[in-house]
Amino acid sequence: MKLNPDVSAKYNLVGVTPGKYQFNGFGIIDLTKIDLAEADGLVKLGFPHLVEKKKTRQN
Amino acid sequence: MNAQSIVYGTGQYNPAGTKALFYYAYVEDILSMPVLADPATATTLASLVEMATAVVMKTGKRIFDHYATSEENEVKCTLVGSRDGKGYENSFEYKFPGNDPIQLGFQASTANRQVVLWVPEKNGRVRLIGSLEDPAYMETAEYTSGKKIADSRGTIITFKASAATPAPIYTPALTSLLTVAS
Repeated sequence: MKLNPDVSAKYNLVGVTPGKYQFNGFGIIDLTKIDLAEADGLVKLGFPHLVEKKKTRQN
Repeated sequence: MNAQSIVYGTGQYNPAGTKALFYYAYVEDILSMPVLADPATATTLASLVEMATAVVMKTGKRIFDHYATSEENEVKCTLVGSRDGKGYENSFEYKFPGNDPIQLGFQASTANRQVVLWVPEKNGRVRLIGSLEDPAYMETAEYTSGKKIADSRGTIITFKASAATPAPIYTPALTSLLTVAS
């Protein structure tokens, strides 16, 4: 099971592996089925398992 | 989901009862719990009740052990409800001896709190009572000082949770949950 490629391109998954979980305060979420907009929304709400990747400087 | 053979190994150990320690966590200390497979998508019967991925605690939190008098404790899973709408009441009844202030404080703190219990049975399987979505609640707690010297002093406590399945079997090691999450 993997994250949506758009989600994994922007975020690192921390503390859990891709799958379906009950998240305290967020309910049941299947991390393999959320799209980037849903991931962005979760992060805005303080979802602790998605951490935005640091942008690398491009020359 | 396909049907499967259901067998029982001749001569295998099956000691009744639960071990003398169980473990508990306040729901607010849990970060995440895996979701059990659904009958519509599951490929094995066991996946409906086996939780193979570990619970994750919030930073700085852990689960705690709780003593229970041997042979006075019982996990029960009872099918309830009407046809086409049945579910399970999963409960754990245990006895704690004496009138220790820490345990009495535990009772006070959990009387109106949502909890999850990990109860190791004597055959080695750990049963989970409650979850984030369907937590366990303290249903009853009855203390007696006893009357005569041959009586027993202690409290009999029952936690109960409702669920779609019998109390799940938690297979990851508990050791990681007993250390403070970082």
